[in-house]
Amino acid sequence: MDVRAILIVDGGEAERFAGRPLGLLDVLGQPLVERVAARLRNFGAEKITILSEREPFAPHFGYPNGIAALHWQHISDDGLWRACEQVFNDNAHEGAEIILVWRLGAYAEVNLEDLVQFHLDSKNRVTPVMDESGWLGIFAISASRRNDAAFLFRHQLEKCRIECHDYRFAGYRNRLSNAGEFRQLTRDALFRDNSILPAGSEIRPGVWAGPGARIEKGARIVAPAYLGARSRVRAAAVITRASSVERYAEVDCGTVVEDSTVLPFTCLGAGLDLAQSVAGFGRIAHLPRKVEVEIADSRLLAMRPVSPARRAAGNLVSMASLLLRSLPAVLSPSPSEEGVGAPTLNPEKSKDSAVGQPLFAREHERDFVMARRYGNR
Amino acid sequence: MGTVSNERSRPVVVKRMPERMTLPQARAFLREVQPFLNADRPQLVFDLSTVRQMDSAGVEMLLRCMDRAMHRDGDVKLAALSPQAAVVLELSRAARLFEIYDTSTDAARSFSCFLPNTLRRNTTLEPPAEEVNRAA
Repeated sequence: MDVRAILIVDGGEAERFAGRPLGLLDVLGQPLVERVAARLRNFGAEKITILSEREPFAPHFGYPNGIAALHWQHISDDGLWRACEQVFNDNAHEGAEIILVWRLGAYAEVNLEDLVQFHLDSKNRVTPVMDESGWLGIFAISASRRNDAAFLFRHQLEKCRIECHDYRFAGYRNRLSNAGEFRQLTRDALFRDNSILPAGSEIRPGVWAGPGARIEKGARIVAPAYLGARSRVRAAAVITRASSVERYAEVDCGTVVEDSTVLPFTCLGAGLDLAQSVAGFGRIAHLPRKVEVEIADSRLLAMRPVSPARRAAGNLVSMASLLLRSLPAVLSPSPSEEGVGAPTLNPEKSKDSAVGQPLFAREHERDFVMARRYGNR
Repeated sequence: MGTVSNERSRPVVVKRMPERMTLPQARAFLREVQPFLNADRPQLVFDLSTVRQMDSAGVEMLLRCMDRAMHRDGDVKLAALSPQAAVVLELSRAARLFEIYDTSTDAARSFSCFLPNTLRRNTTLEPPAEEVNRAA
């Protein structure tokens, strides 16, 4: 049987983080849309078309065999549902018998074989998947029923043309209606409440790491936790309570990440305490307060360049600036030779340019951040 | 004190903490566990079921044990937290630094495999279901 799939990635205002649909964000090392597509492929869908109203960012993140390998169509806001109709018709022309339509939207571990069998047995034109709260945005549609499909798309998957039997689903599902539910999905995956597997290997019981993840000495990772590919956890940082640090993200010295997700390419500054939050793209969603805050200060939250060349250039620039800054210290005589080896608050000495600050403060000036050991000391 | 061997054949030392965990007891406890912390890749489980009183010295002692175990590439896990110990550990925000299990057996087993169902998931101020049932 020729079964095909249309994956719609869009979201209302609440179903987004930093303006991006939650379905495009990474869950334990892989974008959720890619995980759902893999699920459809494993089921045996001949062709999977992904329709998104946003520019997909994941291919730029270096996943050439991931999302980029799928049939991706970037659709403007108002043309999404019309495009769905068009793709449905094209698939029907090409000989599809059943077309699965999945709006991400909800993540549900539906047994697709069972769904298709139910659709055939009940002789439905359209079979919606529903739980106790209503439809989940997953449909099996007979390809020959174009009018029914068109009606469904024109009503944004909220109304069927004629009465149909619902497929009741009681397994794992997450409606992903806000950042809190997105975080819950990651937490559930780490606690193995769903079938999402971390992309990486289990380096010790309950701690998974992608290739190239670096944990500096003195950093503490409390299981369950996930560290994405090429992520970095610096000294004295703590990753705890089912937290996830996604690929290329970085957690600086002494920062505690508790029950939170750090999205790809995000750098968390030193000495911070990130709890029950989703951080990335210059924003933090604090889940208990249900608020999303933009963070402009790059010392708190910054984005690493996505392109490898830019990252390398950035590293070179920062290394050069460090060398330039340390050069005067190397060339000038050491403080002990000048007799100022100990911190001083002597009022007589404070008259000169040292302005009475302890030596400690003078040496570090603006770029110094107090880092707490394990976040508690 | 008990010793359990896990699948990787490294012993897991289970140690029950005393009822009071203030400065003198914390020092004595640290002295007792010192030899195990000095072992290669130490694996320790502290059973806190009998702890009725704990102060900052007790918390500091736990952090010190964790620190020393980490230096030797080992770990310290906590088990069967009494409500009093749970409150102090949450108050001092030290609870998030440890894996906390409902029983010492689960904690010992967790050194060899991940046991998501036995790990305490949220802030430990809410008692486990067994305690609630017993109280009812």
